[in-house]
Amino acid sequence: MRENGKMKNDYKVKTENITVDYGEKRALHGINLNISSNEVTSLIGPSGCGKSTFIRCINRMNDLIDGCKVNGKILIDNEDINNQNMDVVELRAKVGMVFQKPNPFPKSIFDNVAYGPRIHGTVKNKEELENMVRKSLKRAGLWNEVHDRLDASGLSLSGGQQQRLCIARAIAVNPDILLMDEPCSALDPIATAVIEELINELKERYTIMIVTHSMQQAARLSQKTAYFHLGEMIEFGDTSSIFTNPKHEMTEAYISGKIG
Amino acid sequence: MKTNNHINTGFDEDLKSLNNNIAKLGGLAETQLYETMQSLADKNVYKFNKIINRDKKLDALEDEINKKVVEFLAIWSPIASDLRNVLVAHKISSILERIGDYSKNISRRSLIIIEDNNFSTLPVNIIGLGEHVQKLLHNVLDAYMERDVDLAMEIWSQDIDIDRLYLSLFKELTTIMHDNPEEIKDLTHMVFISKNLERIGDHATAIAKQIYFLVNGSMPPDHRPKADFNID
Repeated sequence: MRENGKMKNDYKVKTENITVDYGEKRALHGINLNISSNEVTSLIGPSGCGKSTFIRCINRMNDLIDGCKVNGKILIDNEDINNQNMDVVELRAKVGMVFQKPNPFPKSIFDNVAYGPRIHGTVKNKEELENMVRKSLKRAGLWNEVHDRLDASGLSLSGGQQQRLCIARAIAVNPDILLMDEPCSALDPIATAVIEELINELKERYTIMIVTHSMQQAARLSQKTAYFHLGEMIEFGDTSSIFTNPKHEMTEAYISGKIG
Repeated sequence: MKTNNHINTGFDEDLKSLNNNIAKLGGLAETQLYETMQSLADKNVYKFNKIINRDKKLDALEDEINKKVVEFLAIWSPIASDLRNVLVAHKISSILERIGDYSKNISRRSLIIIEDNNFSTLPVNIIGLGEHVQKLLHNVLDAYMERDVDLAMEIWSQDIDIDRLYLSLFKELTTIMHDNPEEIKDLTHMVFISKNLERIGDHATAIAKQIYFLVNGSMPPDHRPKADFNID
């Protein structure tokens, strides 16, 4: 079966009728959104529209919030992530996350990246661990800047470097999916450009979902864009169409900075 | 489409200023064409130099619009219909400047023809073609200001009438050339005048196409009627 010219099986993530409630308050109202493999999908929308809540469903981060209830079906590689047999630790290794503010551990650069492989036991010995740390730092575009100071604290790096360290930490456990929640909002334009370039390279290996408030960033980075408003997904489609000729008036008003 | 104001009022002010300049350039282009054809019909040689000199105003205004477009893109990074608004303004300003050039060229040739004074009457169709083109330009500028796609598409489909008038005029002029070889210089200028008018018609059609893009975000399907250009 085909949908938008793509085989349905190509979807890495499928979500059906996702609702999220924080106590009495409904934050997401029945979201149906399918995410293609090896693409960047941007989620845009005003603050409080539910885009971060949505991506936190994908690695069950909402489980950690008291009173938060998620309903609906989320399939990753056709496997329901909310089924009782799902190992959440394993899920979070498969679905890495990078946050708005870089949050390296107060450990060395090496130990920050080695942390995941160590606790997940994905490496057999020291040599494999060192290889994994090197590979992850290279993929995160940080190796050339830190290879001679791996013992230095992760906190000694600049903001942009710290964010790339967090990306290296996320990819060190061989994830399939990377969730990025405003990964550049705390960075200057140069560090932002470096991260954007990195995301563009990373999509060759990973499926990426990014929450951003920068329309230009969404337009530059992603192949697909979803516009959220008050917990509903208003429009989803090819980024090129969304930013040149959106179908919905609300999308047009939001991306153009118009009074809605 | 909603025409809500932007949260940044400076955005709307800059866009309004850009659109005002396009309206001004459109008005100048219309005046140039109108006065050119009027002076040709009246054989009024005194007007032509004024028209030729006024073309500099159109060039300067186009330069100003280009500068404003660059500033607008750099400052506001417009997207969706806002981006189309700016791109279309840029494109239309360049078209209007070209229309000004054609009017100037017609004025130069008209001046030569009238000063030579070798012929008794102009072919009637040359004035008729001019009137038709003026109407087309006037209507397409109205359609642009009103974002009227229906009117723009009507104009788009009318270009064939201009083509037919031009072909008929071309044949008439070449026949006169054949019979009056001593007037060949003036008649050649008239062929060029006719061609320039036909080109202005094409440019009006190009503006119509831009209006469609501005409103719909896509180009119109290219199935408009075209004249058979058999000029043997």
